[in-house]
Order: sequence, then structure tokens, then C-alpha cells
Amino acid sequence: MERTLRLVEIQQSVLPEDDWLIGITDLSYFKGIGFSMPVSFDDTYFILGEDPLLRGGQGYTDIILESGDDECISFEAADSEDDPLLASGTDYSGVSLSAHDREESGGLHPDLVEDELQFSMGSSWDRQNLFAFIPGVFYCSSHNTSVDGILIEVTQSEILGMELSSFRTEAIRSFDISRGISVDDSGKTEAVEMSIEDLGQFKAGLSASLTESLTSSMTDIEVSSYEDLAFSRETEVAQYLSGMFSLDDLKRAYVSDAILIGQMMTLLHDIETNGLYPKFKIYVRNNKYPKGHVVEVRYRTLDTILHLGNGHGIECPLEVDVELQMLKLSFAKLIGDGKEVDIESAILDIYEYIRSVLSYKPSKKEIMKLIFQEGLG
Amino acid sequence: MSVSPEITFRTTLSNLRTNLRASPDILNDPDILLTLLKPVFISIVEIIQKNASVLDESIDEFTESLCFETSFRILESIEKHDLLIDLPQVARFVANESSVLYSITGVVDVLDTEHRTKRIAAAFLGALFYLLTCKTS
Repeated sequence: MERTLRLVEIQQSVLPEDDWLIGITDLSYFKGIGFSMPVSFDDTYFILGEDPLLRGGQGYTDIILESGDDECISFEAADSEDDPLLASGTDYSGVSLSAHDREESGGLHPDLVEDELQFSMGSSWDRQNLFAFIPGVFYCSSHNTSVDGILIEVTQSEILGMELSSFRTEAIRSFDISRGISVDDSGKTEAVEMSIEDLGQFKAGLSASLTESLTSSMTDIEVSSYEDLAFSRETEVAQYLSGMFSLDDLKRAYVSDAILIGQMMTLLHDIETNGLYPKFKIYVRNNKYPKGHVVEVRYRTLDTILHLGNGHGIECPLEVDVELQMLKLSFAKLIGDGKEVDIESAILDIYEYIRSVLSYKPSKKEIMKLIFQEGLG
Repeated sequence: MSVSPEITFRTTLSNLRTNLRASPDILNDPDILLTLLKPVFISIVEIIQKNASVLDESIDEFTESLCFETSFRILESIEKHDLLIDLPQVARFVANESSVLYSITGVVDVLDTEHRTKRIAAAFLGALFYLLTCKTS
């Protein structure tokens, strides 16, 4: 499958003054969006007493799971539903297993502590929601910063009998176009190159002629407040667009529109100024941050190159719970060898690819040329 | 006695669907189409306003979802549901252009929170109108 970089918009809300997310990514990497269900820390894995093959050996499971009179000690989490005081209690079953492991194999292993802590925290996690993930260079208006990827927890809630989902695939679109559209004063449309030189032209183009044709037709009406209008602006805009553009042309016009161009230029300017280096930030929208939040991250793979180690996986020093969520996600990569990747490798892969077709510090012009190149689907 | 917006919504929606199915020619007459479409979206706004206190922070999200679902049912009734994927983008486009128009024509007070529900519903109404009437190339 051919790899292509595209401009991608993630629509947060239909109203233009709200936050926006726009970026450049290779959607063929996940064939669209990466979806992952967190790998469960299912504690049934650790109830081994029932299986005779797993008993009587020399492994540490014996020592922990069997008491002297050959009876299994069951590790049960406290019934937290009944007692609010226990609701946030830690599930110690995992901890005691591993604590014994360390004693039996002689000496403490301080380097394991972190993983075990994660394990025990992870095992008390009962929410298992789907996550959507798009790695790439995205600009996030609410935080005025670029990020290395977008991670959205797909949560469902019901209110007044309506199911509200925090994420819809329709909200994500890539612009597979090679030409924009401009509208001249007489209302004639013309295809134009998507290039910096022509930007000014269609910046004014569409909105201006639309405004003119509408304001001239509306001079008779005294408009003082929205109440008088009752949807009339929007329906007039829709009627104008319907007479002027087919759906394909509408998509070109959308990209050529001043608002999207403005957003795109912010992104391109950021890349031109700061280069294609990881930003060590990820935009996360989850149960904890339903309005979205930018978290600081570290990539162990990059860190360990300096320390000659072999660690990997994402780190999120300031938000341990987000790190735990992210570490449990694994996505099916659909390009190259097609293996499962975690968030960290996906982000680093995408950076590597973008830099291989652009460079470390591409200009706006080079980026535009690439994301709007022709003949790709 | 006034009729609750929920009932208005249900009757206007089924009226629209029946009409669209019975005479597809309506799609060629923007005025008739709009007279059928508008009451559906106006009643959506009324439903939201009536339940504003319950919806609280989810108000925008709820409005978008309700408009989306409603648009789906309308498109579905004339077997054009494959256009649904383009609905958010067209709605955004309509909202973009309308917001430019609002500021140019001096109606700036609509850009506050009070009118968000109306503007969201209106954007979906516009988008749906476009999708029902646009030329397919």
C-alpha cells in the first residue's frame, strides 16, 4: 500500500470558534485511525489453584497459592461496591504474589518495583473503553502547541434517552485534494493550485463573494438580533452552496476557505520554525479530561539510546494514570511488517516517515507541495 | 394549550419523512423543502432549551448528537444515508460561512453562549439541506 502524507482535521465541535485540531499524518499507517481496547489485567490469570498441572512444582505459585494443609488461599478483592470506604482501596493480590517472588529468588530487585506498582494499579482498573489513536504532527488550538499524536477514549454516556459518544469517526477527515477552488466577483468558480502564492487569492475568494451576494439580497431586512433571523443565515448559505458546488467541489472549497487556511498556516508555521522533532506531548481526551488535555510524555526508546539501555514504552511522569492507560494500548499497524505497535513506536515511526519524505526542517512550501500532491487516493 | 416540543419534533419529523418518500420532487423545490425541514430543527432547539438544566455541560454535545441522529433518519428515509459521513464537514462549512456573515453584518451578539444551541442546529439544518439538494457529480 502506498504511503502518503495528508492534512487531517479532527472536528471537535461544529462551531468554528471552538478548539480545533489539525495535523499532518500518514493515515495508511493504521488504515485510518488506530483503535485499541486496553489489554486487561485480568486477575483470573492468577487463580491457578484449579489446574492440577500448575500445582506441586517448584515455582513460587505453590508457596503463595497453597497453605500447609493443601488448600488454596484465594485472593479476593474486597467487595468495594458495598463499602464506600473501600472503593478506592488497592487490590493487594498482585502485590503479594510478586513480593514473594522477590524473596524466593533472593534479594530485592528495585527495578521491578515500578512495574509491579503499575500492575497492581492496573488490576484495579475496571473501566475498559476503546481508545482511538492518531500519531502525527498535530496543532492543538486550545493549548497553542503542537503534539505528537491524538489519543481519545471512546466513552458512552446516556442522557435523556440519547446515547452520547465522545468520539465519532466522521469527525476525522483527511483532505485528499490536489487543487483548491476560488470564487471570483461574478460568482464563477475556478480551480487553483494549493500553494502559498495562491493562498491570498482564495482566502478572500469564497467568503467575500458569498458575503456580497447575501448582503445585497438582505439590505431590505432590518436585522438587529438573532431572533429575527431564525436560521435564515445558515439556510441562505446552504442554498448558495448547493447552487454553486457539487459535493467534491465543496470539499475543495472547504480547504480553500479562510478559516481552514488560517489553521493550516499555524501548523505549517510551527513545523517550519521548530522542525520535525518530537514535541514530547500528546493530546489526550479521556474520562478524566473530557474536554481534552495535553500531557507531557517521554519516550524510553529515545532516552535509552543515550543510556545504552533497552527500555521502551511511553512515560508520562506527571500523570501516572494516563501513562498506565497508554501502556495498555496496542494497535495493529497495517503498513510494512504489520505487527502490533504501542503508542511510542507508532509516534516514532510516523516521525521517521515524515522526515524521510520531507526533512528535519521543511519549509511551508515543501510541506504544502507534499500534502496536496496529485494522483493519490 | 401549548404542544410540547417533543411532540412537535416527532410529528414534524414524520411529516417530513412521509413527504420525502411520497414525492421526491420536493428536493427540487427549496422553499417547500425548507418549510418542511425548519420546524424539525426549531423543535430540536426547543427541546434542548427546555432541558437545558438537566443537560448542563453536555448541552452542545447533546445538541450535535440529536441533530446528527435526526439528519440520519431524514437521509435514511430517501436512502441517502451514505451522505451522513460528510454531514459534520458540511455543517462546519455552513457554520464557518455563517459566522463570517454574522460578524460582517454586525450581528455580533449571536457569538455568545446563549445562541450556541441555535447556531449548532442551524448549521446542521443548512448541511442537511445542502446534502439533500446538491448536484452529485
